[in-house]
Amino acid sequence: MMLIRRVVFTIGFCVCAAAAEAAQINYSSFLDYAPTNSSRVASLPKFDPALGDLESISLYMNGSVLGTARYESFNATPRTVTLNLGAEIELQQPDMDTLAVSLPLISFSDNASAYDGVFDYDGASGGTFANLSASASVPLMEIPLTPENLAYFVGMGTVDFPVIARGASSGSGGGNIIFRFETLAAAEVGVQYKFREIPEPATAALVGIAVALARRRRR
Amino acid sequence: MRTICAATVLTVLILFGAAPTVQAATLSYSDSIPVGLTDWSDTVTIPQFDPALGTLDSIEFKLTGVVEGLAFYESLEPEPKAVEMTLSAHLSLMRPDLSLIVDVSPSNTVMELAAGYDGTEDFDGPSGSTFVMFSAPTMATTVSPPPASDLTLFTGVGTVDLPVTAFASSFGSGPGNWVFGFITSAGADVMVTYTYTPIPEPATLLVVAAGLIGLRTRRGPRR
Repeated sequence: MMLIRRVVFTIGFCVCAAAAEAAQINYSSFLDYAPTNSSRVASLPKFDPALGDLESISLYMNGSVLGTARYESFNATPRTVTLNLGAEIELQQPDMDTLAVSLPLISFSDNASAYDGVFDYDGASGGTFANLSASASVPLMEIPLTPENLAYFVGMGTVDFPVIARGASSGSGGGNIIFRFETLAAAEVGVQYKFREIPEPATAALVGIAVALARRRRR
Repeated sequence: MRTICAATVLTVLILFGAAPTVQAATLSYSDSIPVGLTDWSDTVTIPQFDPALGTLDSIEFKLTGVVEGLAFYESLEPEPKAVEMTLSAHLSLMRPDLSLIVDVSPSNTVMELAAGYDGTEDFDGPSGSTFVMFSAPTMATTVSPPPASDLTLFTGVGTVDLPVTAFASSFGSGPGNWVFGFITSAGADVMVTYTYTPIPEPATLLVVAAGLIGLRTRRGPRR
């Protein structure tokens, strides 16, 4: 009988230990391409405390730009033209403090001939570059488990992160030239919750039986 | 007596600085290239130093450059955004062999907060602007030798043609959705100053000769 109790208790303890292993759950929110200089919100589910004991919270962001850059050189001599199309994509906490910044950027040069006589962002002295794209990732950042942060991230519902996209473009190429930039920005924001699960009812019952048997033996 | 008098005169002249000491002198020439649309290559013509005037000791080159033109933009953003535009050019003064003597980079920058797009792409209104820009004259100087070959190049009775080039490098930075551009012109002034040791004047030479004759007479045959 003693042996049986010991076996049941041992089995129950091992199952509980296994059931309390670390687990993680990930959520992400994708904000599709929109003109830069926009302010939007990435909504992510909070951590449901019924899942277990929260051990860490981490966030990440991938920022992207998509756009078109054009130029027409009016220079009388061939010149090298440099174009930069990018954005500053800022992820904020719900209280609007900056959490992270992504800086996707496309930078390139083109050789322009002397002005070809036609202002069309094309030909020998012009260029139109469409579907330019770039991405920049902010690696996983651990969020301190302060009471304030726990209030944001734990519970039912979602936590909203403001995402601000500011376009930034520039160009140079001699002294007689015109540029045109059109820029869209997108962002993917993700959260990872690591926690220890609460054991399942059947498992808890097994442990309970083992404990009860052990107590009965001592009387 | 005559010997003593001549020697005394010479001594007094030396003591009071009127004796034949030769001081450096300068001579300047200038030429200019009027403001014109970049990019351009041109020449300035500078007279050589006439060796009949003396010995050329050094040459100072002074290049003054200016840039002017238009900078224009139209913001297509829905909200106010900052824009920055710089009108700039690089001017170089060179020797006939195209080696660099001196260069300058005049520029002018304007920054503005553009309002949200006003619906008209005219480089005007709340969301656009056209700036007429001028730079302050920007100057640079250099003195040769070195190289010593400049003294030879600039000595003679003719002229020297010095190439001058102007290459613009205007640029703008701003939001993600906008149109901007430039029209850039530049101009240059060149001044060349010769510093030389003049050949002494005839009156001065006579004073020296008189003194020497006086000294020689004293040393005449002894009786």
